[in-house]
Amino acid sequence: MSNKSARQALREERARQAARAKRRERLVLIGVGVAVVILIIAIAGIVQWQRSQVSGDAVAPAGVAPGYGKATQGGENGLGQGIGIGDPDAPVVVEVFEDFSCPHCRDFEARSSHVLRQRVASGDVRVVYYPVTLSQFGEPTVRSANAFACAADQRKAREMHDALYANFSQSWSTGELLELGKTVGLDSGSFRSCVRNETYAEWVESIDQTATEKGVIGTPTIFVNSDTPLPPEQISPAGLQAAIDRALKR
Amino acid sequence: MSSDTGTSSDVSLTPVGAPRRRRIADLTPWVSLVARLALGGVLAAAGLLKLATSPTEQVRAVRAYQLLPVGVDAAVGYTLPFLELALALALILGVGARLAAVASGVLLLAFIVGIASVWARGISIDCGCFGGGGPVAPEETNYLGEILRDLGLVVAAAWVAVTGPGRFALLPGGKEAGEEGE
Repeated sequence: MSNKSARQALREERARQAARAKRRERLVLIGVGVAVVILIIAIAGIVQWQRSQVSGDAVAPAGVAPGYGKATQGGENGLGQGIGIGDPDAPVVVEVFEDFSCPHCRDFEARSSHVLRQRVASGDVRVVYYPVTLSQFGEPTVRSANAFACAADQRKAREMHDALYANFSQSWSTGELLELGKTVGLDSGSFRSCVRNETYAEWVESIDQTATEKGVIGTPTIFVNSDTPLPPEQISPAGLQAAIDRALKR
Repeated sequence: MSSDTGTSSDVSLTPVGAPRRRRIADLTPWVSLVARLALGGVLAAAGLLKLATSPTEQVRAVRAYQLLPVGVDAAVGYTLPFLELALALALILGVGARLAAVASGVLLLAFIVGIASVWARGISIDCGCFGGGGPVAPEETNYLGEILRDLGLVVAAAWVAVTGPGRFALLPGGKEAGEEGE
């Protein structure tokens, strides 16, 4: 009888051991599975990061200029730099991040752009424009940002920029952009082929990256000699004037 | 052998639970299936719609919360869609569904904290839950709706985590599912 219970105890002990081994095996399996999934996610993330980088052989249009602070200095070939307007030695740099398809940017242009025009003319300010392309606006905004760069190549950046907002649209086609170019005196073969081929598509992408590096989370975002954006309530003619005056005194 | 070690064996083809709880026990796996598919479906949609936008914009959507330091937010922006897709796949297929449900619950709680924090700080953004994101006009925010939706999903996650994957799971996860019922 004692023999039998001893045998049974042994059997139970074996079963317990087997169960423990099985549990351990399962834990290892789960651990390996989780590790593999995490590895795949990390690799996919690195691919995404790679995808957001711009290739080395891309070109920037004429008229690109560094902005204020580290984030807007740009890389080789002027990639990541916006289009500069005004005296390169002006004491105040105003960086304007806007999307040609964003209604708030149109409103900003209609209400406040005259301030920038005046202060550029008086030599206080140089403006750097960054045509951000939010993917919610799709291809048309990329086409218009590229056309803006093509115009910069022909020294007509200011005119094209203003025309794009004066004729605000969220559905620019290549043909319409060529027509718009004509209205500001852009009719050369090089402008047309630049618009058609989206020559500066990669530069446009590099602008998006600059915006992210500068901490821009929406458009319009404006920096006046600063790495801190102008608060939304100050994006008005008076607010802009005051910010420029403050920067001049500093 | 059959009487004593039967409970710890991983073969439990017969439905568990006492006869009087039988009807509830019969329904539980079906509810679990629905919870799994709902949670997995939402996560899959969130992941795929995010991937439809550019990586740069995903980072911008994370940055709009103004919560994480630069660099960390980039890592989150680049990887979050894939994490959501992995969890969705595990839940829908029923492979490691419990673990995936726990992870989804934690992720959703993090989302809720993020949205609540943005709300409390008076920042107006789109949550970017399904792509998009970034600032919006104050009257366009929907923080309460977003938090309630995420809370509902947390309940689904908790249900799967407690009751197991339920019906039609590719890998039901061995004995734990059985043990829970007893």
